[in-house]
Amino acid sequence: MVFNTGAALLDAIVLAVVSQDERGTYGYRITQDVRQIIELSESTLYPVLRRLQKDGCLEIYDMECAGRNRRYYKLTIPGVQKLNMYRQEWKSYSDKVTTLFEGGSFQ
Amino acid sequence: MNRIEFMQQLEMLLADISEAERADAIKYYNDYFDDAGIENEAGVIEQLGSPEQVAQNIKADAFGTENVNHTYTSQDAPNMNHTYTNQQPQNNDRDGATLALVVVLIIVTFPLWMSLAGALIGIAFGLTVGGGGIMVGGIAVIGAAIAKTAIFPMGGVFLFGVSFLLLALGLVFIVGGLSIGFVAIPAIIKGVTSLIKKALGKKGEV
Repeated sequence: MVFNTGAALLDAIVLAVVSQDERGTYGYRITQDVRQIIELSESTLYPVLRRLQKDGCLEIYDMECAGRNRRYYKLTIPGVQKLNMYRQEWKSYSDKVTTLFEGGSFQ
Repeated sequence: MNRIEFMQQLEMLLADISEAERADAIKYYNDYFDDAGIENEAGVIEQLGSPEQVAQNIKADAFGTENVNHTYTSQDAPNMNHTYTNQQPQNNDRDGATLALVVVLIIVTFPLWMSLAGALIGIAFGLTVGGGGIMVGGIAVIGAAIAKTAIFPMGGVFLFGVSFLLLALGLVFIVGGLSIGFVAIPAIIKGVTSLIKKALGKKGEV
C-alpha cells in the first residue's frame, strides 16, 4: 500500500472495527482485524485505543473468558457519533477522489 | 527473550508514567499474549519489537491528543516512531535559528561591547592603582608631617590632616576599583549569560 494512513483515518478504522461486534471486542482481535485493512505494527494500536478511550469514544470492561478476565473495548454514544461523522467525511472524500480518478467531472 | 522478561522490562520502562496508565498498558499486553496463545508467543514478541519501542509508543501518545500531525505509514512500520516524536526536531530548528541570530548579534556589536568592557576594566584598574598611589602619597606626607612638627608644630598638624585625608581618599578609590572589578563585572557577565540563555528559548528544558 502506497498511501499513508493519517491519525484520523486510523481512528475511524479502529472505531469501525470495534463497532462490528455489539458486545465490543478485545485488543488482540482489534489488531488482527485492523491489520486486514492496513499494515500496522502491533505496538501502534494500544496508544490509539488508549487515546480513543480518553477522548470518550471507547469504554472498557473486563469479562471472564477461559478462566481469566479479558479486557473488552466498546463504542460509547459519542464514539458512535464520531464514527458516523467519519463515515460521512470518508464518503464525500472518497467519492471525489474516485470521480477524479475515473475521469469524471465535478458537477 | 520470553514473555515474562518482555513484560518485566516493559513495566520497568513505564515506571515514570502514572500508576493507572501503566496498569492499563500492562493489562493490554498481558491480554494480548494470552489471546495470541503460547504457540504464538515468539511471533508476538518479534512483531512488537523491543520493550523500549513499545514503551516509547505508549509514552509518545501521552503528550497530547490534539497532535494530528503524526501519520502512520503503512509501508514501513518502524517509521511510526519518527512521526510520533516530530515535535522535537522543530524545537531544535528554532533553537538553531535563535542561536545563529545571537551569534550574529554578538559579532556585529563586538566593537561596542568590547570597548565598554575595556572601559569598565580600565576604570576598575585605574581606581585601584590610583587609590594605591594616593595612599603612598599620604604615607609620604605623614613622614613630612613628622619632620615638620619638630620645626613648626602648626604646619605639622596641617600636614597630618592632609595625609589622613589622602589615606582615606586612597582607600575609597581602592574599594571602589576592587568592587567594580570583582563584584560589578562578574554580575554583568552573569546577567548577559542568562539573557543569552533566555534568548535561546530555555534550551535546558528541551
